[in-house]
Amino acid sequence: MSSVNCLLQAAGPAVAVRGDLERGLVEIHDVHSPSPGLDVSWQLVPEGYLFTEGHPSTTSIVSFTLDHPTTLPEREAFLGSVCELFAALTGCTVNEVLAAITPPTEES
Amino acid sequence: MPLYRTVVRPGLTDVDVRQAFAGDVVDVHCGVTGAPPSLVHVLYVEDDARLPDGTDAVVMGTIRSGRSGDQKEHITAGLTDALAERAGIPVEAIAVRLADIPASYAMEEGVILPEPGSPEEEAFKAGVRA
Repeated sequence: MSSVNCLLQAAGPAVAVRGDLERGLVEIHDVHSPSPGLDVSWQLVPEGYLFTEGHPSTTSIVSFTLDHPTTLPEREAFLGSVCELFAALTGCTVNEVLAAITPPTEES
Repeated sequence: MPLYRTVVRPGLTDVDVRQAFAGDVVDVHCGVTGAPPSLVHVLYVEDDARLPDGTDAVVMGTIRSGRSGDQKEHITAGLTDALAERAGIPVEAIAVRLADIPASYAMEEGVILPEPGSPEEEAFKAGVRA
């Protein structure tokens, strides 16, 4: 099964909408994936523990491990939808979302 | 991207040290690679259990593929020296590890990241937020 870890600011607006984010992430995954189901985990970062450009960060970091290979157009559509989801639900801009997929290993 | 996950011994750093080293990471990474500073993230985790014996800090950088061995050596050395100075610990107590990820597997600023050194990267830099 595919999985995603979402790293959020503990005091940020995304925490309050985690349920909606989870539903949205699963929906986006299932639209773009040949196999449904996504295990979602959360990591809340206290203030003073995440910095962007050397300053306190407002970025959310969304890291996927997918159970299937992807092409570049597929990744662009998938990750784009994820960034738009976070922007719509949390009020952040897409500039405040880092979304990534762990590349498949040689063995997988 | 890059994302530098920095595992430190609990109590080793305060927020001022963490922010100062985050600035050092920007200076070192961008000085070596020319990457836009706005893409450099530094995450701290205080966790003894993740540190090998004799090690006070481990910096794990996930960076875009395509950096040369020489660039990686400069990043590793620069981050080691900077953290040793900021945290007041010997360089021998610090480990820096870098892992490559193809740029096309990450999206930031709303777009798939360009390959380092590509024409697309120059366009990306021109459009990246200040």
